Amino acid sequence: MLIPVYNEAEALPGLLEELREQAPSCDVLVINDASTDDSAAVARAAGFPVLDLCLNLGIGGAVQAGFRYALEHGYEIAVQVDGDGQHPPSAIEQIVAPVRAGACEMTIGSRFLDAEHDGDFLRRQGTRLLSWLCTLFTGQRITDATSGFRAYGHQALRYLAAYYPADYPEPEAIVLLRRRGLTIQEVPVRMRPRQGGRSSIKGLQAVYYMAKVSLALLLAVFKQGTARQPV
Amino acid sequence: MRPINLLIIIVAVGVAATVVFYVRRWRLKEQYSLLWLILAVGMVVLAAAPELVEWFAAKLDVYYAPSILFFLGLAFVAVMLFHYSLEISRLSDQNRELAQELGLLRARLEETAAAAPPFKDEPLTEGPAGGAG
Repeated sequence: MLIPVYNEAEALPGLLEELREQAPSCDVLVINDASTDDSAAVARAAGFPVLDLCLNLGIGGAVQAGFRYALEHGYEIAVQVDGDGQHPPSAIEQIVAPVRAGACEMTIGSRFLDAEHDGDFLRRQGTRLLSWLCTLFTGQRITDATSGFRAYGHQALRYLAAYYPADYPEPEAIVLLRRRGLTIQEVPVRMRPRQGGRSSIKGLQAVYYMAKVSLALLLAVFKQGTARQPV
Repeated sequence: MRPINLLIIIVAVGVAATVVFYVRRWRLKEQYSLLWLILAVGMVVLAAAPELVEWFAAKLDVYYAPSILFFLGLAFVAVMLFHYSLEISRLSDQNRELAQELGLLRARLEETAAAAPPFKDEPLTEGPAGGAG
């Protein structure tokens, strides 16, 4: 269970408490992306291991560090849960089941598969556009490309540990995995409003976000599966 | 030779001298000095033989020959900037890798420390002379 956090000291205790109750069989790793609050201390106080990054790498670099941790420690499956408490731990089992059964290499917890509306209008339109692009580029219907509630199988972990976009990685990872021939499934999940802290994307950044991710998706279609030189 | 040509040659020599100066002081890597030296050589060649520009402009059917100079200058700057974009990408990848590796090592250290008997925080007996201990 990988939880990337950047200044989530507010939401983290509640989330960790829930995880302990509702997913007792999971090993949890909190990845602290150089937070300036005491997210790391909160996680340690709750008794969970913390992977401390000394530089703020962004969500992509943080999650990738988690992939590498999972591989080093011999895990076959990893689950990614946002540190802000949006993702209900009760849904972890649904997310993991298809990967564990070998039905796919990655599952995405989708807010929209059940036509569930939430979040503000613009954000939803942005997600729809990116999902549409992912659908276009992968030939597979994707409804929630930006969801960070995901489970990964071993092959997906192996690939993404080496190749994972640095910022706003979620949609691009879908295209990259599909191009590697790894399968993806979406699972309907009802998400909650964030339980504290602030969103990392707002205002003008949102415009940059959309442009950057759209371009990255398009380029991902042309990317070679592996780099000639080690990255 | 017109004064402007002489001035350009002097500036070019200044550029080359500056580049060599910084390389000598280990503050500029040879790989980055290369493009700047090429610029200096190019300036000297074009200043010493302005008819090259005229000839080139005629070949390309350019009416205003000096615009070739603007083109070459801009092209040089563009190549330089692209080179830096590549370098920045490489460096940020390495940076990310380092930060991740450091985090993984630290996590491993904490695991090991938790599993091992408590670590005695005693000064090293054979530390380097003058070390803090």
